[in-house]
Amino acid sequence: MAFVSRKKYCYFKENGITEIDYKDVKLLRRFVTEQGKIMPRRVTGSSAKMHRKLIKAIKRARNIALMPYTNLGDN
Amino acid sequence: MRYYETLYILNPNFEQEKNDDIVKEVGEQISKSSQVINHRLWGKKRLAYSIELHKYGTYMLLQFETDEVKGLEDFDNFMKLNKSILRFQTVRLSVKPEVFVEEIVEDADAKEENKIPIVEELEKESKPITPEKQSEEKQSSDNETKNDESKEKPDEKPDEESIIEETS
Repeated sequence: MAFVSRKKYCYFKENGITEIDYKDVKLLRRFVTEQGKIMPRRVTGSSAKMHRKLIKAIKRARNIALMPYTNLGDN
Repeated sequence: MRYYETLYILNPNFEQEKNDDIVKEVGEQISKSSQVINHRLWGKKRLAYSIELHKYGTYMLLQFETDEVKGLEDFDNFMKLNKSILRFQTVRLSVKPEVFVEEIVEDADAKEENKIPIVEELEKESKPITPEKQSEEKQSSDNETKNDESKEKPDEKPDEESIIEETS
């Protein structure tokens, strides 16, 4: 089967989000792998500006135990 | 004025009274140097990873405004030394936070009351659309289906038993 490239787009731009709150775990979970790693920009397709804000929000959420640093092994 | 937000986790095993005491202490400490905008319970949540062997935590959200940096440092030290606070994080906000208004219980009741009439209205609307004959047919068909179900139920049990016998 031929490789079909799907169009990537910035989730935040599409939905008009300009600020990311670290308490919004439901949103942040979309941009994290099953293991809890932050997904790269080439996968999510988000803009550089929003990706920087996203990283900050995820790291804050991790610090306050809203999101895991990792899902591997026993926490 | 600068706006800040502190999210802190309390020990989940504490009783309501002890929780209230700690919250009061925190409130007194922060009000020394700054004005409190919001200070409320954010919810009891499961932690993403265990902190001091606790799996759950009581999250408290505190939003305040201040200009004094020293007051913030004192508050930081106070939080660090407080053993009943598992973790805390202070973040600067770019926009002034809105004052949180708790939904009054009466409103919730009113909403529920509103919901029920809407359903009734829908039922009323749906009834006139279907002529009486159809509704009669429906009722009769409902009865039939009920009968079918009642018939099927006793049938099922022997089938299962027979299957079991076959498999065994």
